[in-house]
Amino acid sequence: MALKNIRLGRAENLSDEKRKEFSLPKEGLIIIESLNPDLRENIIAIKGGGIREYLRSKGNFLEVAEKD
Amino acid sequence: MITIIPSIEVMKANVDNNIQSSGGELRRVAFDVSTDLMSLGDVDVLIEGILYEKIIEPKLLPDHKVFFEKTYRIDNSARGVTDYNIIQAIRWVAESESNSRKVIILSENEGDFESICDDKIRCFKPARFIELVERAKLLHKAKVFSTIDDSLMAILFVLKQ
Repeated sequence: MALKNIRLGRAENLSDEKRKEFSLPKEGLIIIESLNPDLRENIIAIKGGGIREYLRSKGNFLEVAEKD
Repeated sequence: MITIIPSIEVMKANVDNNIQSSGGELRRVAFDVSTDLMSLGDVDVLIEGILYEKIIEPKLLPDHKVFFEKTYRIDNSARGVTDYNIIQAIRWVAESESNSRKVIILSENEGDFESICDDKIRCFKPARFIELVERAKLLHKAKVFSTIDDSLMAILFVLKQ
Protein backbone atom coordinates (compact mmCIF):
# COMPACT_ATOMS: atom_id res chain seq x y z
CA MET A 1 0.00 0.00 0.00
CA ALA A 2 1.52 3.29 -1.09
CA LEU A 3 1.24 6.45 0.98
CA LYS A 4 -0.33 9.08 -1.26
CA ASN A 5 -1.26 11.96 0.99
CA ILE A 6 -0.94 13.26 4.51
CA ARG A 7 -3.11 15.53 6.61
CA LEU A 8 -2.46 16.79 10.11
CA GLY A 9 -5.32 16.88 12.58
CA ARG A 10 -6.32 16.76 16.23
CA ALA A 11 -7.68 13.68 17.97
CA GLU A 12 -10.09 15.88 19.94
CA ASN A 13 -11.83 16.81 16.67
CA LEU A 14 -12.68 13.19 15.83
CA SER A 15 -15.74 11.26 16.93
CA ASP A 16 -15.44 8.73 19.77
CA GLU A 17 -16.20 6.06 17.20
CA LYS A 18 -13.29 7.08 14.99
CA ARG A 19 -10.91 7.33 17.94
CA LYS A 20 -11.92 3.85 19.01
CA GLU A 21 -11.49 2.46 15.49
CA PHE A 22 -7.91 3.71 15.29
CA SER A 23 -7.02 3.32 19.00
CA LEU A 24 -6.35 7.05 19.39
CA PRO A 25 -6.04 9.10 22.59
CA LYS A 26 -8.67 11.73 23.40
CA GLU A 27 -6.46 14.60 22.33
CA GLY A 28 -3.23 15.42 20.55
CA LEU A 29 -1.67 15.63 17.12
CA ILE A 30 -2.73 12.99 14.61
CA ILE A 31 -1.56 12.12 11.13
CA ILE A 32 -4.19 11.07 8.62
CA GLU A 33 -2.71 8.94 5.88
CA SER A 34 -4.35 8.30 2.51
CA LEU A 35 -3.24 4.96 1.10
CA ASN A 36 -3.91 3.36 -2.26
CA PRO A 37 -4.50 1.45 -4.61
CA ASP A 38 -6.97 -0.12 -2.15
CA LEU A 39 -8.05 3.41 -1.19
CA ARG A 40 -8.26 3.71 2.55
CA GLU A 41 -7.43 5.98 5.44
CA ASN A 42 -5.17 5.31 8.37
CA ILE A 43 -4.96 7.58 11.41
CA ILE A 44 -1.95 7.60 13.69
CA ALA A 45 -1.41 9.48 16.94
CA ILE A 46 1.94 11.19 17.39
CA LYS A 47 3.34 10.15 20.72
CA GLY A 48 6.54 10.92 22.65
CA GLY A 49 8.96 10.01 19.86
CA GLY A 50 7.36 12.66 17.67
CA ILE A 51 7.63 13.09 13.93
CA ARG A 52 11.01 11.40 13.75
CA GLU A 53 9.68 8.18 15.25
CA TYR A 54 6.62 8.33 13.01
CA LEU A 55 8.93 8.58 9.99
CA ARG A 56 11.16 5.80 11.27
CA SER A 57 8.10 3.57 11.55
CA LYS A 58 8.15 3.73 7.72
CA GLY A 59 11.80 2.69 7.62
CA ASN A 60 15.14 4.03 8.79
CA PHE A 61 16.56 7.14 7.19
CA LEU A 62 19.16 6.42 4.55
CA GLU A 63 22.77 6.75 5.65
CA VAL A 64 24.13 8.91 2.86
CA ALA A 65 26.55 11.79 2.60
CA GLU A 66 25.03 15.23 2.27
CA LYS A 67 25.12 16.82 -1.17
CA ASP A 68 27.63 19.62 -1.76
CA MET B 1 -0.22 34.07 10.85
CA ILE B 2 3.12 32.65 11.84
CA THR B 3 5.62 30.80 9.65
CA ILE B 4 8.27 28.72 11.38
CA ILE B 5 11.50 28.10 9.49
CA PRO B 6 13.78 25.43 10.97
CA SER B 7 17.48 25.84 10.27
CA ILE B 8 20.05 23.22 9.31
CA GLU B 9 20.84 21.66 12.68
CA VAL B 10 17.15 21.36 13.60
CA MET B 11 16.38 19.41 10.45
CA LYS B 12 19.49 17.26 10.74
CA ALA B 13 18.27 16.12 14.15
CA ASN B 14 14.99 15.03 12.61
CA VAL B 15 16.40 12.84 9.84
CA ASP B 16 19.07 11.14 11.90
CA ASN B 17 18.60 7.55 13.00
CA ASN B 18 20.69 8.00 16.15
CA ILE B 19 20.02 11.16 18.14
CA GLN B 20 21.99 10.86 21.36
CA SER B 21 22.74 14.33 22.68
CA SER B 22 20.29 16.35 24.76
CA GLY B 23 20.77 19.22 22.27
CA GLY B 24 19.71 16.96 19.42
CA GLU B 25 16.68 15.85 21.36
CA LEU B 26 15.64 19.47 22.00
CA ARG B 27 15.92 20.23 18.29
CA ARG B 28 13.73 17.24 17.51
CA VAL B 29 11.16 18.35 20.09
CA ALA B 30 11.17 21.93 18.75
CA PHE B 31 10.28 20.58 15.32
CA ASP B 32 7.52 18.42 16.85
CA VAL B 33 6.17 21.47 18.68
CA SER B 34 6.16 23.40 15.38
CA THR B 35 4.26 20.61 13.64
CA ASP B 36 1.81 20.41 16.53
CA LEU B 37 1.14 24.16 16.20
CA MET B 38 0.18 23.62 12.56
CA SER B 39 -2.78 21.58 13.79
CA LEU B 40 -3.74 24.15 16.44
CA GLY B 41 -3.60 27.53 14.74
CA ASP B 42 -2.62 29.59 11.73
CA VAL B 43 0.92 28.28 11.70
CA ASP B 44 2.96 27.00 8.76
CA VAL B 45 6.30 25.25 8.78
CA LEU B 46 8.45 26.29 5.83
CA ILE B 47 11.50 24.25 4.83
CA GLU B 48 13.98 26.13 2.71
CA GLY B 49 14.49 24.37 -0.64
CA ILE B 50 18.30 24.08 -0.66
CA LEU B 51 18.20 22.67 2.87
CA TYR B 52 15.58 20.15 1.74
CA GLU B 53 17.50 19.20 -1.40
CA LYS B 54 20.94 18.85 0.18
CA ILE B 55 20.38 17.75 3.77
CA ILE B 56 16.95 16.17 4.07
CA GLU B 57 15.88 14.58 0.78
CA PRO B 58 18.97 12.36 0.30
CA LYS B 59 18.08 10.58 3.56
CA LEU B 60 14.42 9.94 2.78
CA LEU B 61 12.55 6.85 1.68
CA PRO B 62 9.53 7.38 -0.66
CA ASP B 63 7.01 7.48 2.24
CA HIS B 64 9.19 9.98 4.11
CA LYS B 65 9.19 12.20 1.01
CA VAL B 66 5.39 12.09 0.77
CA PHE B 67 5.20 13.16 4.40
CA PHE B 68 7.58 16.12 4.03
CA GLU B 69 6.24 17.31 0.70
CA LYS B 70 2.56 17.10 1.67
CA THR B 71 2.91 18.42 5.21
CA TYR B 72 5.38 21.28 5.03
CA ARG B 73 5.88 24.17 2.62
CA ILE B 74 9.09 23.56 0.74
CA ASP B 75 10.21 26.92 -0.61
CA ASN B 76 12.38 26.67 -3.70
CA SER B 77 12.77 30.43 -4.23
CA ALA B 78 16.54 30.38 -3.71
CA ARG B 79 17.30 27.02 -5.34
CA GLY B 80 19.65 27.39 -8.25
CA VAL B 81 20.89 30.83 -7.24
CA THR B 82 24.65 30.82 -7.76
CA ASP B 83 26.77 31.02 -4.61
CA TYR B 84 23.83 30.98 -2.21
CA ASN B 85 24.39 28.75 0.79
CA ILE B 86 21.64 27.46 3.06
CA ILE B 87 21.97 30.22 5.66
CA GLN B 88 21.80 32.94 3.00
CA ALA B 89 18.83 31.18 1.42
CA ILE B 90 16.98 30.97 4.76
CA ARG B 91 17.64 34.67 5.35
CA TRP B 92 16.27 35.57 1.94
CA VAL B 93 13.18 33.36 2.26
CA ALA B 94 12.51 34.63 5.81
CA GLU B 95 12.62 38.25 4.68
CA SER B 96 10.34 37.54 1.74
CA GLU B 97 7.93 35.53 3.92
CA SER B 98 7.84 38.35 6.49
CA ASN B 99 6.07 40.54 3.94
CA SER B 100 2.98 38.40 4.45
CA ARG B 101 3.37 36.61 7.81
CA LYS B 102 5.32 36.78 11.07
CA VAL B 103 8.38 34.54 10.91
CA ILE B 104 10.17 32.44 13.52
CA ILE B 105 13.57 30.96 12.66
CA LEU B 106 14.62 28.01 14.79
CA SER B 107 18.38 27.88 15.09
CA GLU B 108 21.10 27.19 17.62
CA ASN B 109 23.12 29.91 15.91
CA GLU B 110 21.04 33.03 16.42
CA GLY B 111 23.95 35.16 15.21
CA ASP B 112 23.46 33.81 11.68
CA PHE B 113 20.11 35.58 11.50
CA GLU B 114 20.63 38.56 13.80
CA SER B 115 20.90 40.97 10.87
CA ILE B 116 17.37 40.22 9.64
CA CYS B 117 15.56 40.01 13.00
CA ASP B 118 13.03 42.74 13.64
CA ASP B 119 9.40 43.06 14.74
CA LYS B 120 8.34 40.60 12.01
CA ILE B 121 11.19 38.07 12.18
CA ARG B 122 12.43 36.43 15.37
CA CYS B 123 15.08 33.79 15.85
CA PHE B 124 14.94 31.40 18.80
CA LYS B 125 17.08 28.56 20.01
CA PRO B 126 15.01 25.34 20.15
CA ALA B 127 14.97 25.20 23.97
CA ARG B 128 13.71 28.78 24.28
CA PHE B 129 11.09 28.24 21.58
CA ILE B 130 9.72 25.16 23.37
CA GLU B 131 9.49 27.13 26.62
CA LEU B 132 7.73 30.10 25.03
CA VAL B 133 5.20 27.96 23.15
CA GLU B 134 4.40 26.12 26.38
CA ARG B 135 3.75 29.50 28.02
CA ALA B 136 1.53 30.58 25.13
CA LYS B 137 -0.49 27.37 25.40
CA LEU B 138 -0.94 27.89 29.16
CA LEU B 139 -2.14 31.46 28.66
CA HIS B 140 -4.60 30.32 26.03
CA LYS B 141 -5.83 27.51 28.29
CA ALA B 142 -6.26 30.04 31.13
CA LYS B 143 -8.33 32.16 28.70
CA VAL B 144 -5.96 35.13 28.90
CA PHE B 145 -6.07 35.03 25.11
CA SER B 146 -9.12 33.82 23.23
CA THR B 147 -7.18 32.04 20.48
CA ILE B 148 -3.89 30.17 20.38
CA ASP B 149 -2.82 32.47 17.52
CA ASP B 150 -3.23 35.59 19.68
CA SER B 151 -1.37 33.92 22.50
CA LEU B 152 1.52 32.90 20.25
CA MET B 153 1.74 36.36 18.71
CA ALA B 154 1.84 37.97 22.15
CA ILE B 155 4.44 35.63 23.62
CA LEU B 156 6.68 35.24 20.59
CA PHE B 157 6.51 38.73 19.12
CA VAL B 158 5.18 41.29 21.61
CA LEU B 159 6.17 40.26 25.10
CA LYS B 160 9.47 38.65 24.15
CA GLN B 161 12.73 40.40 25.25
